[in-house]
Amino acid sequence: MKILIVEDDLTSRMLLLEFLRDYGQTHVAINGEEAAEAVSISLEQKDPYDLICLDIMMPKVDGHEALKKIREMEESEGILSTKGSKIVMTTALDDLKNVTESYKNLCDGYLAKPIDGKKLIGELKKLELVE
Amino acid sequence: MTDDDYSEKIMVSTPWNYEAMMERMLHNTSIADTIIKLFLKDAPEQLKKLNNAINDENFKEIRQYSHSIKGSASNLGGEAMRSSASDMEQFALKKDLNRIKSIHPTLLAQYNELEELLIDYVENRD
Repeated sequence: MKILIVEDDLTSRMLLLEFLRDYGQTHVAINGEEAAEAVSISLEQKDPYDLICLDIMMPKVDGHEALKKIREMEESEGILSTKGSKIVMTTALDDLKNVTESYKNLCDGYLAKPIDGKKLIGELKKLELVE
Repeated sequence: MTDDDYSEKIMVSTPWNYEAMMERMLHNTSIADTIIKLFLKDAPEQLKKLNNAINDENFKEIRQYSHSIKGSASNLGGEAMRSSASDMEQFALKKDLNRIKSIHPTLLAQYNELEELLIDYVENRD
């Protein structure tokens, strides 16, 4: 599995990396701008990410904007969002209200922070990325 | 006060919820050690940036840094610090400098308490 972790907070980033490293090749981006660049390269190489963990509140380009951009890039490559990368948005529990209906249609799941290993793996199972 | 309110009050006054942290980290002490050491290195830098943002009255940066501090404190189980950082983030959204300045010393004191507990853990675990 090819994984992209997009997270500006160092401890959250490292926790995700620790939990996901056994499941495949893992790349890291620290904001939405870097995430869009990584996805663009992966699409050019015809080797897209299977899973993207995308933080919502980040400086520069935030998670919502990045999500939209990623789906637009996939669409321009003829990939439907249902067939694109599985995107799990991560956000603090008290920020869940930031998650609006329009974005819900573009992503595949949500993970409330603090990062919880059991919940993360549960989400991957739900998305049928791991057994 | 309801039972839920009481639980919440106890929770936010806890400097370090070790059990909850280990549960989330799948009881993996190697992961816990890595994250604790990273936090001890990174948090002072984040607090310094937050301090500068408060002095500059830059509400966008106050929100950004308090949000980041909230996230890392919550990963560590630093419940009291997480709660104050969350309050500060809300005050930054409302551009309420007085309340930001009033909660800032509390946040710093909570970090110092958490830092002491984490250093003690790292030095005496083995």
